[in-house]
Amino acid sequence: MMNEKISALMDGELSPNEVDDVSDALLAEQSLSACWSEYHLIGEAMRRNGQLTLDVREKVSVQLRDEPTVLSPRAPLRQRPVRRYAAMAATVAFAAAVGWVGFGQDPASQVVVAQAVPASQDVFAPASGVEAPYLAAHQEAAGGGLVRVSMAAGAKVAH
Amino acid sequence: MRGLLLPFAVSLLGAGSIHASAPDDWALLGKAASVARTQPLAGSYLHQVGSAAETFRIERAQARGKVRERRVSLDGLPREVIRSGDTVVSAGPDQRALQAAKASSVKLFPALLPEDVDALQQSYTLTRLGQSRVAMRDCQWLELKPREAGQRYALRLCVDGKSHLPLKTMTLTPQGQAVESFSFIDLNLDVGKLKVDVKPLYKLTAKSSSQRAAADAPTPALELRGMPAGFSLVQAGERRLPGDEGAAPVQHFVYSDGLVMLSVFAEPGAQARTTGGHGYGALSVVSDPEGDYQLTLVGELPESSLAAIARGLRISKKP
Repeated sequence: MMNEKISALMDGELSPNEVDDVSDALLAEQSLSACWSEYHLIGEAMRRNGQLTLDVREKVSVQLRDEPTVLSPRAPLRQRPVRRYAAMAATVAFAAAVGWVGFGQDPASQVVVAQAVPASQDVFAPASGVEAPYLAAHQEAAGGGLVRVSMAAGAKVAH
Repeated sequence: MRGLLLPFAVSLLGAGSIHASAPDDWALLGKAASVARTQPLAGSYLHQVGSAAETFRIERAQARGKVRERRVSLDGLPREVIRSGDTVVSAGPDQRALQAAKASSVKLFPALLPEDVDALQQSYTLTRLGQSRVAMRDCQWLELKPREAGQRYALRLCVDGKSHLPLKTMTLTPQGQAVESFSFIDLNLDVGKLKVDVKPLYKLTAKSSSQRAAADAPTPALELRGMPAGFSLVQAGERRLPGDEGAAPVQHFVYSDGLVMLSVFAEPGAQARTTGGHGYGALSVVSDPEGDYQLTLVGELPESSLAAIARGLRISKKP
């Protein structure tokens, strides 16, 4: 859809030919170029988070009101995607204006946040050379008084 | 029918008694600690550290007065941790998996509390927070907050209303961010006839090492002063570090404030060594020269706190 292409154009993801297509379409289609500026505004809001005024809502709702009057023969086909896009733009702009909505579950329970640990898939990350022996010795002692025995299998796992 | 009414009754009580008396809270925590070690169960739980997560299957039963428990990792490195009474066996198909198994065996969720919870009162306060729902059970949040604000991690537990089993735990930084969390995904407490097989899945080789809590190690010739209030010496000995068998032995002091263990290693010769780094979970490692010695601290405290403790320590030879 054209909206994805506009977004891709903005993020620099289109090939040169695709860029030409989208640019031509933008220049030709009045409502599309209005969307283009809205999209930029929303992009700015996402990046700066708080400097957005509520004027966007006015502009977008004006656009929504104006949608039905586009007279181009191909408009009915283009109209729907743009309207849906504009509606989404309104939602996003509103969210940006009031601040991001958090995942409000019960306040005592929280999402685990990565601290100084680099993003990794495995929880177990063997410690770097210098610290490893100290960590291992500490883990043995920290076992809460339980006697610990460790074993490794030389052969393959027998299921 | 009564079963349906009871949870509602519990919730109403909880909602009303925001200022539940402190002894009640500590009694609940004590019950939770005991149940966490002994309650027979079968289920799966999630362990999160930073942005990484792993899941385990756990089965626990009582046989002839002994608690038998088996955990199997469901993802990541394959490993097992088996407990029979006071013996814990970590097993894995290769060295790396075995290391991971040993790391997994330090914290045996849901039993993260000490046997004597009242001893925690010296270093922590206990408050009730809200209610929640974990593994399809209603639970009550409790929070152990360090009295020394900002110097240690806080621990939150969501305790099952019916069985008092901790269903979810979170280790929080002073800023309120979770660095580690355990949580049951599914749980079955009705496991009357469950038998837990304590034989490891992985074939045992001749290379098995027994690491006894070093009670028979020679006592260190050094004295350590300056540990913050609440930490008491649990164990002290001279030992060789694992994997470093060729090197000279180090003095190893182990302290505890009831909830977290803190190790101080002292070796002669101050070396400039980089500090910081997390090995597993919420552990921090800090190294600091002190007089003629190099001190290395390992513990489940924020790194800044460990560094502050390290700076305050003084070491001297025993008279």
